[in-house]
Amino acid sequence: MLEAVKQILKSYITEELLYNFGTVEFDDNLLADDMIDSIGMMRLVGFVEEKFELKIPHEDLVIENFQSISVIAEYLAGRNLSLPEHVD
Amino acid sequence: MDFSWTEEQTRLRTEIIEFATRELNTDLVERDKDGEFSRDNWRKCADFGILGSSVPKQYGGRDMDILTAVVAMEALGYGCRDNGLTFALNAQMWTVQLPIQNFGTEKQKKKYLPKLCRGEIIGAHGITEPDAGSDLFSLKTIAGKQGNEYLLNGTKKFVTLGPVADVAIIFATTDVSLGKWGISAFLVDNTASGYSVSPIRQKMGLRTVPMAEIILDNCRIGADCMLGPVGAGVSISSSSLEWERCCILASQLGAMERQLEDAIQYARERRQFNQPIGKFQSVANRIADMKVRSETARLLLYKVAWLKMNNKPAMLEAALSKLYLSECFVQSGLDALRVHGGNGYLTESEVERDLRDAIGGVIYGGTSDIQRNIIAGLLGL
Repeated sequence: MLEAVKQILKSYITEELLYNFGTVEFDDNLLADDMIDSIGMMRLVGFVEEKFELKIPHEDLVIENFQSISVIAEYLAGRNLSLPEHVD
Repeated sequence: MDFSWTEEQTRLRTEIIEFATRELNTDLVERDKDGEFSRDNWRKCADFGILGSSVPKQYGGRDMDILTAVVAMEALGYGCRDNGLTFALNAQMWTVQLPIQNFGTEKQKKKYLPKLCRGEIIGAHGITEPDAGSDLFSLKTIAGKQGNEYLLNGTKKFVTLGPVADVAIIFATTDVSLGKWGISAFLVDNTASGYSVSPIRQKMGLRTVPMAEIILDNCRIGADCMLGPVGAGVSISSSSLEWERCCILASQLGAMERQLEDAIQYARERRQFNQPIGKFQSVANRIADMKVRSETARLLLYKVAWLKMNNKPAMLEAALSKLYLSECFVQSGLDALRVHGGNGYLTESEVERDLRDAIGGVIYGGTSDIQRNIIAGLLGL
């Protein structure tokens, strides 16, 4: 399931936040050099909440949880995430 | 869809309007001229329960939901002609109390929230810097860890309530290598060594709320003064934005409603060319536009509050509302002044002050230009 979550995040970031102008790997630092800016981060959080049907508390919005796709996936796994049925 | 308020909310609105009209509007022309903050009125608002509106009851508040808080702050903006006071109350409630409520330790909540609600101490929010305005997170203030303490160095600018604040939330970088994600927040008492304040003497509007620079020169505080986790500065700052925008804008909406009623009354009473000036289409159209603005702004604002009430994201709607309502307040201030003509231009009329006070709204809390950037960004541009 972790791999599926990573792929979903990678697709969203590549298409919606990087406009297909760049590539992102699972362990790339998303926050370094503003690869994703503050608004991008808001959109990413909104996407994750909607896609995985959970609420991310404000106190969890720290670099330790959002530095890379792998880190986000681990954080979501720690939230006992189970993929909603409609997520493919 | 249901646009109606509950009986309790309607009663609250009436009570606040009566309180504000009766207690908060005296000597305003003089206080505005002198840039005088009324500590008495601050305490009256605290005693009435305004400051504790959304704070949980165990910390001395009334535990209102966001929709009810919007009702309350709109009523306050309508009844209280002192826009500086309503702005200052909102500033403390949403940029000081709410972050403490959301991110504070139990000890920090117990230490600060009851006293803030009772008006015994005043709180400020120090984030803007001389070189970090719209580019908020490029701030230069540094917090260096030394054992069990932090040493703060930097300058905060445009700090609302800065000169009278007993405690300030200070945003500072704890890890330069992480950029904006290395910013943390601290609760700094004004008694801390190396903490000083330089008041701003004069400004265009909102003159009854004092502002200042806060200078942190080797300001030493305990590590337990950190608010929230290390690196949570961005999150703390953004977490209260939607509430802040809702409720500050609610007070502006209330003021716009009052402006509209004043303009209608004046246009009915003032006679020129043997008829009330409201009979002239140019004047009537202007007032009709004021009404359109207040109603459309209200819809946007209530939608944000409703979204938050239902735990839905509202960043886009909050930006739309901030942009639209603050610009409407400026335009309606100008329209109200045109309706009143030369009489409105006189300070004693208390019409021109609303216009001066409104200008700040398109700057503070994210300028209109920045709101447009946010809207465009959230639309995927």
